[in-house]
Amino acid sequence: MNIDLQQNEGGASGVPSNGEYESLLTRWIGWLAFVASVFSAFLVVVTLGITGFSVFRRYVLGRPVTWTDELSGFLVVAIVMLGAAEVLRRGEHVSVDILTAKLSGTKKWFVEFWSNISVAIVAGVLSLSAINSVQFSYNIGVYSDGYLEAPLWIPQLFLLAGAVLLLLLALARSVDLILFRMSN
Amino acid sequence: MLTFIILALLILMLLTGMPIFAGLALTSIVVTVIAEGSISSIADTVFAKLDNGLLTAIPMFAFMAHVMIRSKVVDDLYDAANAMVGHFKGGLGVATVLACTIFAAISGSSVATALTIGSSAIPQMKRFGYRDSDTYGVIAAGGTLGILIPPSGPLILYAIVSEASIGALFIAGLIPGIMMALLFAFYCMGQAYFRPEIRDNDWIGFRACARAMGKSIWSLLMPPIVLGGIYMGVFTASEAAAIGCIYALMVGVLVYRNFGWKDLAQTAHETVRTTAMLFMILAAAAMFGHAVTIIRLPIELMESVTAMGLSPMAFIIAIMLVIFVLGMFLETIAIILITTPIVLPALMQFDVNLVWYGILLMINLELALITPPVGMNLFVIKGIAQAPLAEVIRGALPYVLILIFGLIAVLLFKPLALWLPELAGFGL
Repeated sequence: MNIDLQQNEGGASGVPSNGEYESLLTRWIGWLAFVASVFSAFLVVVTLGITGFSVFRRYVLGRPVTWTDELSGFLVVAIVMLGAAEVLRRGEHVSVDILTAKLSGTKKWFVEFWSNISVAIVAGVLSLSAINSVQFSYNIGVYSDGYLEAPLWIPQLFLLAGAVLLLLLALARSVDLILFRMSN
Repeated sequence: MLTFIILALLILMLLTGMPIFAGLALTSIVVTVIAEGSISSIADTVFAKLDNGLLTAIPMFAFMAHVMIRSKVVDDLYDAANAMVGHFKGGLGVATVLACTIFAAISGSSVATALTIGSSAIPQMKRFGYRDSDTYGVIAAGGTLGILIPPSGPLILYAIVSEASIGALFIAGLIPGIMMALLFAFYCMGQAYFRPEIRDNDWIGFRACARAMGKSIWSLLMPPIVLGGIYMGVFTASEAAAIGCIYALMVGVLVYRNFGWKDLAQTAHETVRTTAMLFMILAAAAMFGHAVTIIRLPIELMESVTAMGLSPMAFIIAIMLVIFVLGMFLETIAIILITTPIVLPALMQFDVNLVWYGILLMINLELALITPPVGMNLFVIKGIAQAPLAEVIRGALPYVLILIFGLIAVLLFKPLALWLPELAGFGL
């Protein structure tokens, strides 16, 4: 594993601040998370376009389209899962910090480590479960029950991709924290 | 007993500072593995919750609000409100409430409302002799209107979990929202009456007032455009949100001419982050809902309530008290998504109107935003004013009492919430 550690002055609070102490691996995964979120942003615009198109067809042309709701649902899955890792990278997932906000040193480090590990566990379980779902849908040939009749493994793949990205980022950040701890 | 163990485990997890979605999901995974011995259902549960076209309303309303804020369409809103009512006794406070109400109808977010209006209102109110704590209080409270006045993100999430009509909830939030705004405004006027040091603006004249309103006309038109279609039963919430987005883009690009491709990309990216943050909690709440259902927790709660012989009203009051306490410690979205799946079967058993309950829940969550120790709006005001938290809390306290009064009013007089949606033809 090629690790290029960047060390700054984050040691005083017990943990590096966001992006302050990142291995090359974490930065690569972070870059992947960013790229995924950019694609997700594109999908937001697509969703807006589809809904606008649906409104136009229904109210202006009087010819409603039937598949937009179903496609919008698939797009929501993709938008959320492809954006989740970027939110983690930026430290924007909401948490209750009533007891942890004023911690420092080892306690702060432990809270940060536990937070990343908890995300990794959740993302890991979701990844394993998503693999089962995708495999099942692919092997059995499950299709959506709306007008699109799309193979369900395709939208489910976004669930898997997002969960894996989240898992990788949370694990990489946990490793960074251990290395940071060892170097201090 | 099991209910308390699971809730205690969940709260313990959350208090360790992990992201809320992770705490919810981890608790659910533990319960699911113990009950089912397998994790295979987890991905299907998450997929089924997120694969819902109705959810697109939230990213689109978020997109709309980001466009309006980024293209500075809402920047003149406070000046317009001030021009309209700033010359009354206590008028600056009333103007702040009015600006919060209109901004809430554009942004759908309490925190964004407190943040945006607070930045303009705090220096102005201080200059006109308002005490610091009074200034902070009215903005913190005015900001809470964002979750009650449509389009409200929390209302949509509640609708998704409870399967109540989003349109009916939006319309139902109007009268209680306006009522709360009026109560806040009356309190500001009363406050000014007893504090001679508070000065009023001079009346700027009809022409200047019309000019100030004209500068804000594009933001003032947004609420009727978005809500009008829903009220008349023409648009669904997602369609209204899409129309709101197109309107916001047209105003930013064609009228204000300050919204380019780069802004579009940044706005879409901001929307992704807001959406992913919110919906990861929703996904985890779906896992939680599945976990508590397989151990029959909602059914047991319902049986316990029935065995206790509680009346529907006593049950609602008990839930409201629990949510009030939870609101002191947890974030509003988490409260909606944790409590609703648990109490829903009991609510249905008691034949409680889910739209009415949704509005009660939102008023209670408004309280959560300004009650310490964890009140998001308190922290927002503390942040933008660099003020001591104790002073912000002191200022918000009278509004806590007003909100409790409003909650009791809607609890006792259902038509406050249900009259308008019934009039609009939503069969409740």
